[in-house]
Amino acid sequence: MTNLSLTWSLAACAALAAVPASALRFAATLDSIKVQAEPGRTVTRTFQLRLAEDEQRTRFHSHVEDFWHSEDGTQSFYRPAGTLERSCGSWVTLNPVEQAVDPGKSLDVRLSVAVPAAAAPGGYWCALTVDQLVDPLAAPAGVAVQFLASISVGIFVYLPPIERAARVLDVELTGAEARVRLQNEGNAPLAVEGRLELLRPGSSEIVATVTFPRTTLLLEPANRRWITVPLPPAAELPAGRYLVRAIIDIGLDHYVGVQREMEIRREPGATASP
Amino acid sequence: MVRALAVLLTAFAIPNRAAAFPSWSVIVHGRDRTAAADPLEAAGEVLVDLAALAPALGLDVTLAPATVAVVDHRGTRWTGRPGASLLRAGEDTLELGWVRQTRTTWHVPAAAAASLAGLDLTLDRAAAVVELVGPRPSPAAAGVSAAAAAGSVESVVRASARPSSAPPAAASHPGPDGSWQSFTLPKSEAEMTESARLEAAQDRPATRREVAVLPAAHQSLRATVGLGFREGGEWGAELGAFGLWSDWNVELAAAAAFGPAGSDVQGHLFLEAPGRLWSFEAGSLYSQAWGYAEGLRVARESGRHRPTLSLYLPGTLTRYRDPVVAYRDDVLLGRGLSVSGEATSAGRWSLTSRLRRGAFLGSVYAQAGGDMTASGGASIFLDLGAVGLSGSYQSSDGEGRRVDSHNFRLSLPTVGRLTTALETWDARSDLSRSQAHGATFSMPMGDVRVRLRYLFRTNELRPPDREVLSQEHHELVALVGYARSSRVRLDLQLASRWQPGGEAAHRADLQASFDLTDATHLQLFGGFSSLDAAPERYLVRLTQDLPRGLRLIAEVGDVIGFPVGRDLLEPGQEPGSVKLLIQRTWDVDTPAGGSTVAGRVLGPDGAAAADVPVRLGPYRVFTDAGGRFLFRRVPAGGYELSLEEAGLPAHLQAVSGPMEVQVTHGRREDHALYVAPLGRVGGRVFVDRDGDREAGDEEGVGGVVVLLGEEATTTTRDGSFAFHNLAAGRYTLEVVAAMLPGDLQVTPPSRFEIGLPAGESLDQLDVRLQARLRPVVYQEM
Repeated sequence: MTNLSLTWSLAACAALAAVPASALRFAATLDSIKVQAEPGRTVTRTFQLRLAEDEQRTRFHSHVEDFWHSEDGTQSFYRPAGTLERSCGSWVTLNPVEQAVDPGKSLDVRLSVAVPAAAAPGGYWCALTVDQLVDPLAAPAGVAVQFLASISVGIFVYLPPIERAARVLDVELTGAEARVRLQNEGNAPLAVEGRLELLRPGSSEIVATVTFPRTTLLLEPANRRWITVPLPPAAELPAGRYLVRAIIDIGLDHYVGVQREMEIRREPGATASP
Repeated sequence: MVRALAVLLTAFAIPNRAAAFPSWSVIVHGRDRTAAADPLEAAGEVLVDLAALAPALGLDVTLAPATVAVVDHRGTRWTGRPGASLLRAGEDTLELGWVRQTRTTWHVPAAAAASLAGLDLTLDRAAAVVELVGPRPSPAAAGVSAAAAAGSVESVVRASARPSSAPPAAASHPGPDGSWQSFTLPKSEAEMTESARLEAAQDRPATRREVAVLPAAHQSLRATVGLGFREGGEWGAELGAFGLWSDWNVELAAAAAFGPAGSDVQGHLFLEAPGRLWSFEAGSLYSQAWGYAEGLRVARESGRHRPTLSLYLPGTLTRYRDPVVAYRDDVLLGRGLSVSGEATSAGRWSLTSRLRRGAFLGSVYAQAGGDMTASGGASIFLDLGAVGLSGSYQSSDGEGRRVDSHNFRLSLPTVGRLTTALETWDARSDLSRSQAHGATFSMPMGDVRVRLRYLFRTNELRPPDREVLSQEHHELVALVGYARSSRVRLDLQLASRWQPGGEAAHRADLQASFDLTDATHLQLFGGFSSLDAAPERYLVRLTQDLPRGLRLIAEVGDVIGFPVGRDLLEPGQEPGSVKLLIQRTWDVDTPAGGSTVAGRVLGPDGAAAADVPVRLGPYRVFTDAGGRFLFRRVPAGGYELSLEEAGLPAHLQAVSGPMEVQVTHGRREDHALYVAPLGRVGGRVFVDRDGDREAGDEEGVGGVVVLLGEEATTTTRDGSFAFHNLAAGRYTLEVVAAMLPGDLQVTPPSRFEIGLPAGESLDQLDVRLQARLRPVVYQEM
């Protein structure tokens, strides 16, 4: 999982804007921060954000919070650290928490994960969120519109032994889409890749292959996730009976899959039936 | 909003039909739109009328619930009696109610699973599709897709099967009843590599991993052994070694040749002690006084001079005939001036002095004694970048003959990249005089170098009591070089010499080398001359790297004796036509040397600081739980010892700055580094509406600017503020009164002096505001 979110929040608005509203421009290390740790140890990483040369001096505030996804992966949800049982938010300290950055300069946030000695094995996660702040001492120049940037990256802490296990719960084929439902049955967030192979019954020739995007399966509040991908056009995958084979890669030395025969209908809204 | 629930129900009494369908299950799927909801918030109640579902399931279900167990998604088991707050059951209707617990206890999961004895019931959504699954379709339910109106549940019943929990080995056929069949597929090596690559790319940490960087655990010595044969019965052997052994620098090169003309052994061994204090040499040596020498030598680095003691033993190529003891010293006098000299027990001595100042390099030398020629001279060299100037003078007197010579050379840029060098040379003795004047033109053109040299020479012989013999000739030499990286090199030299009115003589020489592949190297040498007695020679050398560290070297042409690489015939040697040599190279791990640098990282009260990165030059370690750090096998030298700021735990601040550490061989260094924990100051800004002088829940004021020293922050919506990562010390906290809303004012005092101990947090610094009272000015009417 990479960047969790990059949102532009409308902080204030008014009918008459004194200056044109524009987005803050910066570059940041958006990869999620993954930490292999042991109970009782402290691990330190750095998050870096570099402000564009032609920006104005900007103030940022960093904090840690919990996050998760909706089951279809279209939404992310953020709550205070500690909301989830597998939150690593309370283990994390940041330095600096609040700092102004000059144009062209960097904000380097040290992020230390102090793992409690009694922490159970498995994966824990939370998010580092860096919010742009209004300069407290800047006198407001009348009524204006200001966009404030907010960026979040995931923090994943893995305490061995890590158990990787996932299961394909269901495969649905509608007129234009394939949906695969996966369940994380391990003890840590799991990165999953995979594909759907469609074969004519009794034949080993693959008519179509649909690749799933890399997806992270969390453990709570839901350990299940739908992955939706478009099906090839009807010209390539006409309606009919197919052997549907779902194969997933969860980083083990083998793939895991399920298969069965299904009738695929290509009319809009049609659902495949066994 | 549709909500989800997860329950696992057990211990229901299922009469009759349940036993006939022990593995049937019912899955209730949610609608798509529910998947976009926040699973944490998807809590609530779900109502399932099993009695209504029963006909569709083909079951004659009579529910007589006794005990209900709920297992949440983390495996926590909850049990209760029907009708309790957790679960309630009616006579015909089982009402599964969920009372949300505190967040720390458990959350409502998106998934749900329930079982009624052998009948599994999975409830995913309140308004959902009901899916009947099992290994055998129910006669009543197979192929049925009918709404099973059950209160709020919009249900459709159809037959399917869930994947088995124990996947078989790779399978290519579906289950006999069309159910989902699980399988596993092994990954190929390429797929494993790709997976690892993807994993590494995806999981790239935002910064470096917390890995220690340590000196090498061992050192390495590369050893080479070669054995060869040359046509004509000559055998050759080579032995080489280069590398480190416990910080000793080792260099060994030895070669032996055995053949009809006899045997010859040559070699050179160089050993340098850790820290380069001592060095030992044996075998072929260079003597400042004698030139080529053979024997033993020991030298010691000592401040600004390097005394050297040598024992030279006579050999076939040495110019001395008896053992000689020599003392040499190289002395740096400062300001670019150095002197080196060697005195030997045979009476021969040599003295050289050099001066280097910026672009100027000058030297004078003298050597004499030992029944050999005495000589002396001086030289200068001036390098001004594009312009170079050099000149020398030397004089020698020996064997009844005195020779004086001097030369001068000036090089300067001409046109474009063309460089011209003018030179003159003169040598005279009582019996002869030789002079030469000429010019050299050089020009690089990309990968090609071109050089053209012209010389006009005059030679005079002045025999006593005889007429002077004079000779003049011209000489033109053209050199073309081509180099394309290191794979192709070509050098061609053409030379012509002629006398005025005489016939010209010519000579051509070619050297070429090609890297045919990464393992195959070809060298060509060829020469043609109408000047020399041996007008033609050629040599082809092919070097082929083989597996297991082997290398084959084959030479064809006018090959000479061992070792390989020589291209000059030794006196008495006859060239052969074929030579073969096989070499084997090993990289041998040798014991590591180095010294130990250790210490502790401590807080102000002496507390150990764990997991702190400590850097020693290029190396890095992390402190253990006791704050200890340890660098082993550190090579001798100067290093900077410091705390690595970027990896310092966020709650700590480095107190110790970088320090210089000199590591010497065999000596342990111990140092202490210090950190300080950081603290926090926080509180709330509130309006004391109820007059209790405490910040109530509804009394916080957001948007108030608070200063701590020169740092500023703004209160959040509930009036709270905080300043983080503060070093111990005294601070002034104040609310910026001028930026308060007009109807509020600070209750005195508006400034607080705070003493923050190291690592402490002061979180109760509440600032009280009060409404500003504006007087009413009454007007007269």
